[in-house]
Order: sequence, then structure tokens, then C-alpha cells
Amino acid sequence: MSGARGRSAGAALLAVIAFAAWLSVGYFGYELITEIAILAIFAMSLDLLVGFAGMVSLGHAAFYGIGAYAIAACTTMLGWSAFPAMALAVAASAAVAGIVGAFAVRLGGVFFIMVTLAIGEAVHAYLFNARAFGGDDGLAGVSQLDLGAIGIDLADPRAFAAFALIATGLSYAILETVVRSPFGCLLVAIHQNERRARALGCRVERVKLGAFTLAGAFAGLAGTLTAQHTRFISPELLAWTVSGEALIVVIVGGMGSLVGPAAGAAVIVLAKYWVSGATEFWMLCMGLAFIAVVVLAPNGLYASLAALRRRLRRVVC
Amino acid sequence: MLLDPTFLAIQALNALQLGSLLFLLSVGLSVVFGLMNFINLAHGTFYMVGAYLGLVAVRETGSFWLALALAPLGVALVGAALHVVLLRYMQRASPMRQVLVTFGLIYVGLDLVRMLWGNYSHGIEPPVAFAGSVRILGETYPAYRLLVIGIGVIVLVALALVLERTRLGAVVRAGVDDRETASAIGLNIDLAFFGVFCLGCALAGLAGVVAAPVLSIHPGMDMSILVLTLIVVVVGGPGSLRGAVLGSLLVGFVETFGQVLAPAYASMLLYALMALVLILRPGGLVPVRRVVRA
Amino acid sequence: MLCADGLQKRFGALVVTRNVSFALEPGERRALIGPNGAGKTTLFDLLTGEQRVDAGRIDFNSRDITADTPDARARAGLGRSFQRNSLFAGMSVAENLVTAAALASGIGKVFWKPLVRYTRLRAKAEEIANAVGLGDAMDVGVEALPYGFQRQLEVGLALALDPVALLLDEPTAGMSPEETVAMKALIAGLPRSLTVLVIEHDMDVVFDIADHITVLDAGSILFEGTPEEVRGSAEVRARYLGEA
Repeated sequence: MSGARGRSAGAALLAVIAFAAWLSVGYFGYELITEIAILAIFAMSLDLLVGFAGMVSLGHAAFYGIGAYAIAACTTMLGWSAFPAMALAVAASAAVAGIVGAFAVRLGGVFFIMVTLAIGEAVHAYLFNARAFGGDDGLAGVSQLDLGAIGIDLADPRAFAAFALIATGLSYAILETVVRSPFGCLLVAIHQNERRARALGCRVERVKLGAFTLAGAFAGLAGTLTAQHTRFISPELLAWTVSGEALIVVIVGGMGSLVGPAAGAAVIVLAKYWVSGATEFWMLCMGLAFIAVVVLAPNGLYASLAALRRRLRRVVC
Repeated sequence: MLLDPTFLAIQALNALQLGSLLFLLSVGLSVVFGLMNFINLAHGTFYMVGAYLGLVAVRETGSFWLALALAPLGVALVGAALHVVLLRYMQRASPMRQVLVTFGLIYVGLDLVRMLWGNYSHGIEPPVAFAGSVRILGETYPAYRLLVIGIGVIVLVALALVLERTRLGAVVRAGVDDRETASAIGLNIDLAFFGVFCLGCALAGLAGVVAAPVLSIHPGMDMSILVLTLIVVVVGGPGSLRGAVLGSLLVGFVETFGQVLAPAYASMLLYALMALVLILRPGGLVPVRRVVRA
Repeated sequence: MLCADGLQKRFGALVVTRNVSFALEPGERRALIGPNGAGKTTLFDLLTGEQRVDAGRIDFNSRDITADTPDARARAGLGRSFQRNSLFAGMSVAENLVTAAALASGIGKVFWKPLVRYTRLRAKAEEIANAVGLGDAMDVGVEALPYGFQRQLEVGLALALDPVALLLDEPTAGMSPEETVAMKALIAGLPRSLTVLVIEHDMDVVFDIADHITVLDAGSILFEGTPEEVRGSAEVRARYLGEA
């Protein structure tokens, strides 16, 4: 409610930066932009759960992976074209999220973390062992969306980067709409005081399930984009580190802001490449940085920047 | 499907061995959770560190038994240091932030281990006294696995005695039952928490050394066992010795027999079990009784 | 309006509610008094559904709600304020009331229209704020409110439900004399269409607003009657009024 205007400004700023970057970088830059854009969608979907509904999930990569595997299976094994495969993949992620959510949302905070971690590993283990889906070799040859009708070839990294950025923008627009709606208000209410929400007639589990399913759908969308980007998928997409990294992005970026995690995605991806260039122990750096953020700036970069902006305004005006 | 008694006996022993290991890991996690509603996601990391410390101890002293004593001590010290420096500060802030900090520690622990010992697997030889095999119903069975079961039983008995007979145990039981009243009447719950936390870390370290001759020592051993341990805590119910035992045995048996009888579905079976328990009894099989004041 | 019949509740070996039965008439102002540990808040929990009864039956508006969840009972019109403030943290008074109004109005399934479009929610929030004396504090964060104002908001949130019956749990708990006067006026000013059940320790408040008083002791009802009858009862006077 109160942060809506700040978020719009932040989103506009990010859009400008993203567009400027897209205009000026070379090949490797397009790869980075695409990776950042996909991670941003994944992280924003997790933010809906963590930042708004207050449900900390450590197994969100499951839905990301299901989206990737669904589109891969449909295009490589069933010969579908990318568009219907994408639609099915998003629906599949949402459906599985609905099933898992049906019993997971009844659990409180720490139990929920443990169970989502376990579920994430369950799906990971299943796909790792499932020869039908390639096992630990994965699936190759994923088709991309055919935009030939409007003269765009997604095999061109520049075009794909733009495609990914547009997808991110659209995802943000939809999630922002949801967050500003009465449903979004209910999510925050449940997060702030579930008991009071229930005493005011809120069907808490139903609302939480809705959020969980929606988050799963967008994670699945991010998965379909990854599959089309690298054109190859493997069970590693569902490793706990993927869920963990998304959570780190959300917390470092600033949970409950949508814009923060999107920016956080850029920060984490760029930092990872930069640190990996200097040392092979980037997980140590990321872990330490994450702990530092949780201890010192738990509301993430977004909140810290907002506070800084308020303080500067007081000094200047 | 083999219903041959020898086969059943061997697999049952394997299940008990896994259950024993899981018990060592889950009891500390479970009681701390019941006491403070806090889960140490880096618990698997302590297990891994225990295994590596055991490796160092065996290499330096040549004695498995010394390693069995030193490694848990080392891990307990690491846990105590972490608690005093970091976790205690977060406790006052919020339980969720405390859990997130432990999540960050997983990454830190993983890379530290890789820095010190590299990416390759290592192993420890079982002690000479248990290096051989025994005959079980016509089959040979590694004596060391029986030792693992034995260690689990010894720890269970020791913990049961501590819980029932000592002051620390009484404080822990009171705190798990109703933390607010317990602190209100002057029991030092924070100190009890510290004690139980360090004990849990020590047990995780012990599990690491005990598991080393059976499984290999490598970075990444932390997460696979962590998930199993979490399932034990969720299924058994947090906060009690009985819950940890029940959960460990159940998971040990389902996992072992599942892998042998239906390997394709083995992984899913365990999660199905967890889901079933959560639907029917959301607090676990032995739930914590939260006393509500009138 | 609100009837309880033979309610029983135990926690382990402790029997907290012992065969409690009572009936509230529409528009009645009933006070529930008794010493600490008598089981008053637990009785509220049983009525609102936060705790399940071991035995007994609860009727609300001629419907059996014994098996209903807390949110179902709230939707049926049973409102409640809590003994310890249960507000929406991190928000202002206005945001708290708008949120409560949104929850109560059942528009939660709408996820495509912005909340700010629903101007009637804001209007309702202002109406309630004025009713509970917070009309000038709309944009103050709840953490910054003085305790008395927080308690008033606590009642305000319950009112956002447009309840038919209102359960107030120690509304004046921890309040200064001035704040208590304000709360007393608030409760007295509630519309007579509302049935109100209040747990209170402050006897001035009780005798001021109550039509009838129910005295609870060790989980069962000791005495029920008008304020004069309660004042006249030697037993009640000896055991409880001396405490006030």
C-alpha cells in the first residue's frame, strides 16, 4: 500500500538501466542480461511468497525446474512447438504448486521451510533418477518460440535478451497489480497478523494457497525461458542451491518490494561472475555477504536505499 | 520380493544402522526446535565438519576411538563459538533471521571444507576391533555397522538419563512444554538452549565420524543427510526424545527397504510418508504439547 | 443470539471450562468477571473457535457453530478484540482499518483491481476511526500510538467486521484512568443493535455498562444476575469485589 509509488519509480529506473545496457553491450553482455532477467522473474515470484505473504520457501526451484522440464519434454519428446509447450509448462508448475501447497500452507514458519526444502529435494531426486526425462544427462534440443512472423529470430542472443527483458517487465507488471489488489492486501495482513486476519473472516489457507500457486506459475515461466535460452536442461536446475540463491537475491535485494529482488538479481549475477573470476570460492563470499545482510540490513538493499533517500531529502530540503 | 528371513534380518540391521545415524543427527535438532522454535539449517554442515575433523584426528593420532572423542568436541566448540558470536545476537531479533543466518553458514561451511581438504572424497578405516564381519543367519555382515547401532543405543540411553535425572534435563523438558511459564518462574531457558545446542552440534559431529567408514567424506555430504534429518524431525515431531527415535526408525526403515524393494520409487516414498504424516498429524507423530494458560 | 450449552474444555489434566452454559439476548450488554485463572479468555477462545470444545454446543444467531472455524464464525458476525493487542504491525491506523474492512468485505478474491479504487473502504475506515476516537490519528503508525489508543484501535478492528455480536477481552487492561474513561464511553456508545460480551476486571466499567453480569470461577459459573444482584450477593462480594 504505502510503498507502491516508490516501487513504480524503482521499476521505471530499472527499466531505463536495462534498456541502456541492452543497447550498449556485446555478446557476453547479452548472455548476462538474459540470465539476470530470468533470475529476476524467479526472484520476484519468490518475493511474492517471502516478502508479501511471509512464507519462506527453500524449495522454489522445484517449480522452476518443472517449468523447464515440461517445455523441454513437450518440444523434444512430443514434438510440440514452443508456444503451447510454454503454456502447458506454466500450467504444470502451477498445478504442482497447487498440490504441494494444499498441505504445505497449513504449516507454520519453520516447519514450512523444512518441508519446502524437502519437497525441492524430492523433485530434484526424482528427475535425477528418471531415465524417461534423461536422468542426470538431462534433455537437449529445446525449441525456442518462433517469432518469425514478426521478423525476430530468438537464436540471436540480442533478440533473446530483449525477449527476456520484456518477459521480466510483463511479469513485474502482473505481480505489481496483484500486490496492489485486495488479494495482495490480504497477503500482507496474513503476514503481519494471521490471527487477527482469521478473526476478521479471512480464509487464510485459501489465500496462502493462491499465493503459492501464483508464485509457482511465475517460477515455471522463468524455467521455460531458461530452457529456451540454453536449449538444454538438467536436474541441476532444481538443486537446493538454486532455491537458496533465489532466497538470497530476495533478501539482499529487499523482500516485499518486487523491485528490490529484480535489482538484487542483477547484483548477484554480476557479483558471481566478478568473484568467480578472482577465486573459486564464491560460495564463501556469497554466504558471508548474505549473513552480513541478514544481520546488518535485514530489509535488504531496497529498504536501505529508501532510508538513505529519505535521509538525503531531509538534509537537502 | 524376497521374504527370506536372512534378507529381512540383514536389511533390518541396515535400517537400524541408518536409523541410529539419523537419531544422532535429529535429536539435537529436534530438541532445539522444540525449545526455541529454531532450526539450524547448517546442522548438516556440522555433521560434515565432524567427519573431516575425524579424518584429521585419525591421520594425526592413528586412533579411531580418539577421533570419536575429539571430533564431537571440536564441533561443539565451533557451535559454541558461532552461538556466542552470531546466533545469540539474532535470537533477540527474530527467529526467522536466525534461521536465515544458519542458511548462509551452509555456503560458508561448504567452501571452507573445500578450501582445506579439496573436492575429492576421503575415507576412514573402521577401528581394528570392528574391521571384520560377523555371521548373521548365514550371511556375513560388517561388524562396524553393528557398532553404529550400538553407539546410537548408548547415546539414547545416556540422553534419556540426562533428560529424566538431571537439572538440565528438567529445565529442557519444562521449556519445551511451556517456555513462557518456565522463564517466568526463573528457569534459565537461554542457558539450557545453549547447552542443548552445543550438545546437538557435538552429536552431529559424532554422527559424522561414525558415518565416515560407511559413507565417504566429501563436500556435499551435508545436504543429502540434512534433508533426511529434516524429514525425521517433521515426521517424528519436534521437541522430544521419543519423537526423534520414532522418526529415525521410521525413516530408516522406509528408506532402506524402499531402496532395496522398489528403487525407482524409493525417493518418492519417503516424501509421501512425510506428506501423509503432515496431513493426518501436522504436529508430527509425537507432537509438542503447548499448554495454554486459562 | 449467542448461547452456550454445557461447554467443557481441558488441557491435559487441567479442566479449564466446566459445564458452562449461558444465553445472550440480542442487544444485551453482558460482563464476564472472575479472578485470574477462572477461564474467561479460554471461554472466549471456545466461543470464537480458536479452541475446540471437548463437549457442549454453541449457537449463534440460531445456528449451531460448534464445528465452525474461527474465520467462519467471524464471517457469521462474531467479532472479537484480544486481551493483548493484535494489530497489523508496520501500518498506520488508516491502513489497519482499511485492511480490516477489506478482509471483512470479502473482496479478497479480487487480484486485478487496485485496492485504492475501493473508496468505500476508506470511508468506512474513517467512520470507525471516529467512532473509536482515533479520527485525528489516521496516519500514525500503530507502533507510535500510545497504549490507550492501541487498545481503542483493537476494538476498532473488531468493529470493521460489522459484527452482530462483539466479544471484548479486557478492553481497559493496562489503561490509565483517563484512557479508561474514553474506553468506557466508547463501549457505552456502541449501537444497541450490537450484542456485547465484555471480560473486565475494572468494576467501575462493569457496573457502568453491563445489563447483566456472569461471574466465572475455576471454570464454572458461580453467579449470574443484574449488577444490583451481584453487588447484593455476599459471596461474590467477599470473593471478588474486594479485589477491585
